[in-house]
Formats: sequence, structure tokens, C-alpha cells
Amino acid sequence: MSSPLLKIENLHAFYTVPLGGLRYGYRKVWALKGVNLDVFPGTTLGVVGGSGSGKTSLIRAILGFLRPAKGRILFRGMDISKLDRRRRMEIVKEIGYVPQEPSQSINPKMTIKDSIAEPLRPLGLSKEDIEKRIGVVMEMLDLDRSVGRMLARELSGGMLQRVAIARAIILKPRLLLLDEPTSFLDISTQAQILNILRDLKEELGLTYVLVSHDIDVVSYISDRIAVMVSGKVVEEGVAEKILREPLHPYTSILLNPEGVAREISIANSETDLCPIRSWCPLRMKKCSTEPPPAVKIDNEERTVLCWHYTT
Amino acid sequence: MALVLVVRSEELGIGYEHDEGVAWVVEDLDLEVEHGVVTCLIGESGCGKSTIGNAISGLLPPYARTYGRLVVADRVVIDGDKMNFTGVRGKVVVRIAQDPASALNPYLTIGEQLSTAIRTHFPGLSEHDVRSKALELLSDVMLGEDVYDRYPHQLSGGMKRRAAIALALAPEPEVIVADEPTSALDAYLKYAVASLLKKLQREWELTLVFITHDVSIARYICDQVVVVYAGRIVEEGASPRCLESPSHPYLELLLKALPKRFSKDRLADIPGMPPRPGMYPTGCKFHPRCPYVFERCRQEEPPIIKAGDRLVRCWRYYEQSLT
Amino acid sequence: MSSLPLRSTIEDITSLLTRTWRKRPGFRVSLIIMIVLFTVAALGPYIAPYPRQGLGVEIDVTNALLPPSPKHILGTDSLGRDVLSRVLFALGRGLYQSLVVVAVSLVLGIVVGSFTALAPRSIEAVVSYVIELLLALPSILLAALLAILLGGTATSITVALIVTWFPWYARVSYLQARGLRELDFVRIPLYYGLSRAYVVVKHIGPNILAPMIVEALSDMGSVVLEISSITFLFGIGIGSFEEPDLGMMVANGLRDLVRAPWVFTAPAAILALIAIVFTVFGEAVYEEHHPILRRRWWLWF
Repeated sequence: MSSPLLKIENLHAFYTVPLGGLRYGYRKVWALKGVNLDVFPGTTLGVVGGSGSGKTSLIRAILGFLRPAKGRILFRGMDISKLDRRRRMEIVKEIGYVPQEPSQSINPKMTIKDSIAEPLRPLGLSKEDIEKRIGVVMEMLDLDRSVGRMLARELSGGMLQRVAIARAIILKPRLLLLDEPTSFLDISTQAQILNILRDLKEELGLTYVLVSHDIDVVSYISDRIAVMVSGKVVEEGVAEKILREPLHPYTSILLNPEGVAREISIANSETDLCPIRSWCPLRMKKCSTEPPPAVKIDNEERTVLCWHYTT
Repeated sequence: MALVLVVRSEELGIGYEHDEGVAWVVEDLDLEVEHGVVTCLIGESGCGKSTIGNAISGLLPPYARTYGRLVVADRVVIDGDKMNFTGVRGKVVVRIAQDPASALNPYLTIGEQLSTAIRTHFPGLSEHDVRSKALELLSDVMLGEDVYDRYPHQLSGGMKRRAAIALALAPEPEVIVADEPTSALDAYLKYAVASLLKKLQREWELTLVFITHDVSIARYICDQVVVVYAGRIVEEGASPRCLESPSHPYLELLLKALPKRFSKDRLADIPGMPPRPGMYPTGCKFHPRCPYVFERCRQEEPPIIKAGDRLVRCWRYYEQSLT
Repeated sequence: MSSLPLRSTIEDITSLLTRTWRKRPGFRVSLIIMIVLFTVAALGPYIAPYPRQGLGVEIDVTNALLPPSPKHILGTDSLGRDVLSRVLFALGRGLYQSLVVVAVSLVLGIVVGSFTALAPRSIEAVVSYVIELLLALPSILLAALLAILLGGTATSITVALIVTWFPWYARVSYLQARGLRELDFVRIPLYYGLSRAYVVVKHIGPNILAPMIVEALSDMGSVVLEISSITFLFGIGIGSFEEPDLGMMVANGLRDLVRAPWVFTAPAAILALIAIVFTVFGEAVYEEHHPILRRRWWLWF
């Protein structure tokens, strides 16, 4: 297999939050606690997880919005968290970002055309060049020319999400980071966006990292799936195999939530112990004393973070 | 058991007054909800499902305009342009919002809040009875007695949600309107909330009106399915079966637009967007997006037609119903 | 292309004003009176019967403290100047001064506030403290200090008021910009390497301008009052005793209150009118703008 386009090694990151109450000070909340992932060119990695699992933090760390405390983020072999400004700008052109909520990602007081063209601004292209490239991406996303002169508040959520995708691909990136691109949309618009994403990938040979809480959305366009719980990847492997035969108990619950129908707790504490040890059906004595190991199964094709699969 | 209608609307219309006039969100709605069933109102955002829910629970804003009739538990709450929810709102019908925990007062213990609600609705109960009733409510939502003396911030998110549901049940209502109670939750929590509501509905013999856009949750919880599009019912069935074999083109496309786990087939593209209130097209409200459209659809709005085990608002079933 | 966002801000403001006009009678009355006041202020120097007296370059001690008469409609003051002419000149100056104060403070506040929100943490903290320090400074004392430093001119009052007013706007726009900086449309241009100045001008400015203008509209009345109270108390800000100023005239009129009440009454009434009208206007706009009080029917679906 070729070398990964994006390689994440033992990534740790935290947020600082106020202590609250009348106390003064801050404490660290670890959002990522040692994430390892490989994304190969031309494939889609789907990242699934519940709220607070760190899936959005992962995207933010790759984008540089969240500084890694430990670990490396390698893009084409370069650690992108430790680049100088000039080199970073080169990398930035190759990583596009489609955020979660279209109404917050497009400035409501700016014309759509200006929003789409924004990434081109630092390049100092000629006016005709910019116009031409805007035209190309707008056509790709089925956006009418007249939309370009409108303001964001005149468009619906689905249209705005297309604009956000147009902006993300205008620099012809290799990697597209998609953070819940459809979670704010209706079913019919969600289908439109997912179809567009699938077509674009073929057309432009893109690589996707798609984050979502909805495993069905992820399964629609992913080649590999990573399941995150409380800042860690608990299972990672080929999409088809994970969907058919989940190994980690949390993955099984994600795939079959109506089977649980009760509230289960995810330990979001600072320890490295398994976050689902309190109710896991496969739990062993070791689970509450030692952090679970990453076990490779299926010819190294699949990773599970669970004591149960150590032999 | 005799068929008892708890909610019945006759040609109900609801609109909101704004600067340029009234935007009619719901038009000519004939909805019947039997006692003791779970009815799901399914639809996309802006289709008017929340407005219907607010009308049933008596929470329409003062600038809402109405026509037709709405009867809830034998009391006419909407008659023409007059609304009167006294004695119904918060007593016979309660509403559970998307974030029910926001109904809790952070400065009072759960017990104080529950007993205040019980005392308000059942004056004359002794203090001992109030307390035992509150504890009963807590156990109904699967919370321990220790929760009685705790403040909301001492509870986890899920416990708060259940405490708030207990609070909503304090007046012993007949109807619960749950407006998207699962939409912002993780997958397994959705089913936890839905199954708790279902359990309460069964034990208390309640009527539950469950408003959602999530087809899988609807399939899990409902007895009766009502699909709403552009402020009217387009398909209604007495069982979740119509979510498996849809009749109306809208529902058919909607189900095909949902990603399926093991299929990578292209999702159905429903062209265009749902119409905005006040800008509904003429004829069938779905005709601009419908793949089966023919001339009649553009001119005349189809009536609701009985087709097999369900009601459908589509001209395609008209011929069939005549024979 | 860039005129469109500006136009949308103007549209926002005009639609807010027309909505308020339709719904609030108080707003209607106050707006009409405001327009009249501004017109009179603008025409003041041309319609004043004794412009030289109004300006204060001419006195007529022989006609001191005359009661109102057809010749002097509002009477004359202790130096024999026509009170009507004085009021007309003073009104123009007062309104002009307060407009300058509000406009300059608004622009300065938005610029300082939005850059602070985007600045590195250390600078953000320092500037926030400075803003808070300035907020704590009483404008009257600062005006007195500046009057000593710059000489007692109208400019010193204007500067003093700007220094004490702009921190309010800086603080409000800082808080708004802080909310915006977490949003993706601000983060993405920074990610692509665009400058902070670009982000402030293109993204933060246009999105906080409309609410900040509303804020400023409701502040005009207070500024007029503040200017007048400074001149009333200290008599500073006036190059000489002769210059027309409402606060100063009230102060002077007070001395002859028993003998010649008209000298006091006319400027005091105008001041009160300005204060009431501007406050009613500002409150109406503010309440109409405030989202909690607004009827947002489309939220009910």
C-alpha cells in the first residue's frame, strides 16, 4: 500500500476551561488522548463518535485551531504543527475544510462570490483568474451564477453548505476535512450534499476525513471507519467489515442503538482506562486497573482498543 | 376498548401574523389522535409539525391566527379565530421540549420542584401524600429516592432530563406532546429517551404526540404515523408500516434519501427545497418536486384519499379509491 | 462589489427604524421633534435675529435683562444679548459636538474592540484592562484636566468625552467580536493566511456595525447632557464667557433666576427637550432591536 497522505501519531490535545463557581483559575480538559490514524490518498476515512468524543477536536487540531500537546500530525511526511509560516501556507492550500454549521461558516454580510474566493486572496491572482476559478467551482457544485451576487442570509442551509464546499475546494486541495457536513440539514438536503461529496471525490481525486455522529452517513461514503470515544480511537478498520462485524462493544452500540434503550455512561475522566468499563459486557478485571491496549487483528488491517481481544 | 379521540382537528388552519400579513403555516388539517396511542408527526424543518404540536399543547404565541376547530380531550380549544386553552394547557396536555432539562430551576431541589407542581394541581393533598407522590413520579422515570433532595447541578445530563420529564408528568396529563426530544442526542441516548417515553405512555395510558424528523426513531416508537409536508398531512397510517412501504411520493423519496448502512446506491435527490410558509405552490404542494407529476397535480390540490390501510393526499390514488 | 455588505447594514438600520416608526408612537413624536431640532440647529445662524449677539461678539449692556418682547422674543440676558439668538447658536454647537463625540467614539470603539478580540492573549488582556480603566474615569474630571492642558476650548470637552465614551463602544464591540471570533467564517480566512486587518474590515466590522449603530443612537441624549453638565459646572470648554453654550447659559441664567427667569428657562427647556426626545428615540430603537422583545414568528416552526 502507498504511504499515507495524513498520518496522526499519538496525538494529545486539551482545552483550558475556567474552574467555575467563585474559584479563579483554569483546568485542562483533554479532548484527544493519544489518537493514531492513517489516511491514504484517494480514500475516505469516516470518524464516528458521540458528543464529546473528540472527533471535532481532531479536525481542529489538524487545521491548527487546537495546538497539540503531544504527538505529531504528518501531512505528506511533514509535521504540520511545527512549520514556519511560509511552509505552512503551502500546506494550507492542500487541506480544505468544510465546517459543521453553514450559517456560521459563511459571513452573512458578504457576497457569496467573495466568500468562495476568499482562500484565493493571499495568492495575488489576477481578477480574471479569480473569476474563472470561481466559475469552475460554482459549476461543479451546481450553484447558479446569480447566487454569486447574493448574501449568505438569502440562501438556505443546503445552498450555504454547497458554498462552503466550493470555498474548500477552490485551492484544489488534496485533502478535505468535513466536520459534520450534514448534521444541520434536512434529510433531502443531506442526500443532495452527500451525493455531491461522492461525485467530487471521483472527479477531483480527493481524500476525505469525514466526521459525523451518524454512522449511516459515514458508511455511505467511507472506505475506512474510525470510532472515537472520549478522545481515543477504540476501533478502526475497513468500513464494510466494521459495519458487518463490530468488535468493540461501543461500536456495536453505535450500530444498534435501539438494542440498548437505556442510558449508558461514558467515563470522560482523565484516566487512560477504558471509558466504557462500567457497563461493558466484555469487561475483565484488567479493565479497571490498566488502560486497554491497541490490538491489531485481520492481518494488521483492523485495530481494536480492548483487553478482550488480547490472546 | 371503545375508540376515544383525544385530539381532533377539523379543517384547522394556523398562521403567524407578520409585517405584511399572515403566513399560513398549517392549512386544512384534519388530524385524529386516539386515546392511548403514540402518534408520530414526521416532517422536515419548516413543514409546520412544531406548530401543530404547539397548537395541541396550547402554546401558540399571541400573534398566531387560526381557523377551523381543534378539540383536545372533549374541550374545544380552537374555534374559528378564538383560542381558549384554559384548563387544558399544562394540565390535560403537557409539552416536553427539545431540552427538557431547561425546565428545571437550578436553585431548588428536584423534590421542592416536584411537590410545588403536585400541590398546584392537587390542592388539599397532605404533605405526606405530596411527598409519596413525588417519589412515585421519580421511580416512574427510573430515578432513585436520593434524587428528591438533590439540586439539578448535582445530576448528570440524563438524570436531569428524566427529572424534567417527571416534572412534566406531575399534573397527571392525558396527552404529552414531545417536540423533537431526541434531536440533539447521541444515537444510544435517543433510544433511551424514546423508550422511557414509550414506557411511561404504556404505564400511564397516555396519548403521546411525538414530533420528529428522525425516521428511525419514529419507526421505533410510534403506533400511528402522520407525515406532514407544507402544513398538511400527506400520508397517515395506523402503523409504522407506511415507513416501510410508502405511498405518497414525498415519503417515498424521503426514505430513499436516507443513507442505508449496507448499500452504497446513490441517494435519491429530491430537487428543490420545501416551500416556505406563505409561499406554498398551487395545486398539490409537492408537485414542483414530484417525479410523478401530471397536469391535475398542478391545478388542483388532491383531497386526502383512503388507499388500503392508510390515507394519502395524492391524485395517483384517486382512481383506485373510486373503484 | 464591496458596497453590497454596506448596503445591507444600511438596509438593516432603515428597516429597524421603519419598523419602530410603525409600532411606537413615542418614537414617531420624538423623531419628528428631533428632525425639527436638527433643522433649527442647522438654520440657527441664518434665522437668528441678532447673529452677532448670538455668537457673543457683541454685547448691549443698555438692554440687559429685558423681559420677552416682540423685539427680543425670549428676552435678553445680563449682558443684553438676545436669548433666542443665543439659544439658536448654542443648539447647533451642542448637537454638532455630541454628533462628533458619538461618531468618533463609535468608529474608535469598533476598531479597538475588534482588534483586541483578535489580538494575542497578552495584548488582549492589557487592552481590556486599559479599557476598563478608562471606563472608571469620570468624564467631568478628565474634561477639567484636559481643559487645563489644552486650554479651555470646546475641543478639550470633545476630546475628554471621546476618551470616556469610546471605551463603552470598545467594550461592547469587543464582546461581540469575541463571540464572532469563534465562528468559522472568522477562523477560515485566518487559516488561509489572511491578515487580521482584513478579517476586522471584512468579517467583524460589517457584522457588528448595525447593532453598534443602534447602541450609539440610544446614547446621543446622554452625550448632550454630559457636555452641558460639564459646561454648567465648570464653565470650561468655552474659550470665553461670550461663546454660546446651553450648559453655560443655564449656569449664568441661574444667577438672575428671580429677576429674569427667562434667561434660565429657555436654554433649560431646550436641554430638557433634547434629553427627553433623544432618550425616547433611543429606547424605542433599542427595545425594537433587542431580540428577546422581538416577534420572531419564523422561530416557531
